[in-house]
Order: sequence, then structure tokens, then C-alpha cells
Amino acid sequence: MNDLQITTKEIKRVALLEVNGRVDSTTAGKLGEALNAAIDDGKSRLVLDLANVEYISSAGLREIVAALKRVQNLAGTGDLRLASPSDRVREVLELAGLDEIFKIYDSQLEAVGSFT
Amino acid sequence: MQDERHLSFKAHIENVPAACEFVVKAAEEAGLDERSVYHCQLAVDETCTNIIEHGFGHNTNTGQITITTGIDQGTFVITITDNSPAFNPVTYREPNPALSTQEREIGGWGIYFIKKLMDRIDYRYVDGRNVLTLYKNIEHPSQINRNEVEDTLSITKKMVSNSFVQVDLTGQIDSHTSQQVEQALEEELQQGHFRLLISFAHVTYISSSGLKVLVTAWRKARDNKGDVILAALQPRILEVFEMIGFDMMFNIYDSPEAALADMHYE
Repeated sequence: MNDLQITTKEIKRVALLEVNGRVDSTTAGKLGEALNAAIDDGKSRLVLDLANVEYISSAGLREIVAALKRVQNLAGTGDLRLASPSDRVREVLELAGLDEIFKIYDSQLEAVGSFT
Repeated sequence: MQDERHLSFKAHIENVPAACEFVVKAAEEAGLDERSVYHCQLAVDETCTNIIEHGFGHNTNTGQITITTGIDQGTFVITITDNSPAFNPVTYREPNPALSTQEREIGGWGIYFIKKLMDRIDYRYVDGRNVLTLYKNIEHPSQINRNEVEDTLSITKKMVSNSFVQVDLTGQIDSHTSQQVEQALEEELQQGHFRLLISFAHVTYISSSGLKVLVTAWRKARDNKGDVILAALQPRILEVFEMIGFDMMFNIYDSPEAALADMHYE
């Protein structure tokens, strides 16, 4: 009932992670693992597509911020960008001030395209 | 209280989603709009997660959490009771230096969210139990009320070396007082003072609106070959900065003196 699915694809040398489900304290670890796996795989340009995330708690935000710190600490132009958050998810990002440190795009296409 | 409902469950993290669902259903049926329902869900999630992870430290089989919901005079009321050691999130603000960083994380975003999202929160310790009550107004659900704390912030400015203006802040920077900070910083930027040193020595709290004001000033200063640098952040405040990655943007010093001594700004 409390499933979280994450699919990682590679588009134009950008790792695109499509997240589907609910990110809370029971599932945040899974999100962190997926982000770390992409970074460990040598990817420093990440897009997290949140279109199908209906809910995120602070546990999820911590994982996203940790991943951002990791890619920004890599040499070069590493970044983690967010795509298509719902109004509710966007509100939580704003509440935490994260809209100031993440680049947020309305669509997956724009987010991936922003790296080129 | 009308339409009172109860849910009791063992303090295991796997039970939290079901607890959230219970609250969502009650909140919807109480007539809260979708956004307010979401706020209640998040507040309950953060509260229960804190209780389980920090209150019980994950390692108990005796931990029990009870949630009661109801409607009282146009307000949706959620009461969360647990038998973990006493912890008052309402007064939680400054870190206890005796605690490790790991333990102090208890006051991270979770509590911050709860305070921001609810119209009022209230804590009591009764008969060996933490009783946290969350209030969400049904009439004005779209309003996010600020915390019920006194807004006090004082700001003093002075010219210091290396053409820096030092801004000393004392008090709490919340959604109201952050406007004062914004005004004070904007005044200096307007006058062409693009080197600002902000001392946080006496700041006990900063909200996301305060953080935004700092980022805005930082951007403007940087655009004009200046800088906004920060000094003397208390551990609790520094933790907030680190949590959201602002420590990577701002130059942060232990004290105003240390900031001014940095040759970088000669």
C-alpha cells in the first residue's frame, strides 16, 4: 500500500529519476539509495521527476538535499534539478526554503534540456 | 468536541502511513479543504516520525501512540499522545549543547513544518505521557498562521573596516520580522553598500522567509561585486543553514572579527 517506485533512465548524459508514490519516513531511504546509485554510477547531472509524487515529508527532503550536496561537491557542473512537482510538493519545498537552492522546472523535458 | 475518533498503534515506523490515512479521512470529513488536509497529514507524519525515531529511538516494543481527532468550535483538533520520554516541541528552539548533533536533529524540519502548517499547537506532559494537540481552523483553511510567539527583533547597523556594513540582529527572524530584515538590507543595497556582514550572535530562530531575505540580498550584493557574509551563527541556526545547503552559498565566520580579518575582502 505504501509503495515507492523509482525508475532511472539516461537521456543526453543526464540521469533522469522518475519517482512514483509517496516519499515519507518509511520510503525515503529508497529514494536516497536510487540517487546514490546514480551518483556512484558516475552521473553528476541528475533530474528528479516528481510528477507522480503525491506526498513528501521532511525525510524525503533530507535525501534530496544530501544528493544535491554530493553532486555539487563533484568536480565539474554537477547538479540535481527537480521537475514537475505538484502544488502540494512545491509548497513543502518552498516552506523549507528549498525553492531557492534547487532549480525547479515545470516539465521533465525542460529539466533535462536545462543541462545542455 | 464533535465527531471524536481514536486510533492506537504500536510505535513502529511502518504504522505511520496508516495513521496518516486515518487523519486524512477525519480531516476530509471535518470539511477541511484539500490543502489543509495535506497540512494535517504532514504534521501528523512528522510528529509520529519524531516520536518513533527520537522519542523511542526505534528500539522499543512498549511504545504506543494514540491519535484522537475531533471538531471543536470550527477547528479540527488532532491530539497525539505517546509514552516516550518527555519532549516539548512547542518550546523546542535552541539546542541543548549536551546533546550530540545526531540527537539534536529532532528539532529539524519536522517540528518546523508542524509549527508552520498548524494554526496552533499545544503541548502538555500528563501522567507520564506527551500530549501534543494540533489545531487547524476549518473556516480559514487557506491561511497559514504564524507561530504564537512574540515578534521581537532589533537591528543595528554600523560601518566597519573593508567598507563593510555590519548588521547586528537580535531576536527571532520569522515571517513577520523578516520584513524588517529585508528593509534594513535593502536600504544599504540602495545606498550602494554591497558589502554586508550580518551578525547572528543573538538570533535564536530563523524561518524560511528569513532565509529567503538573506538569499535575495546575497544575490543582489553578488551582482554588484559585493557579498553578504554571515557571522556568529548559533549551532541551531547553523544546523538549519547546513540542512538546506546554504552553508555552501554563504561565507560563514565564527565571529564578525574573524570575518573582517579575512584577507579575501581587502
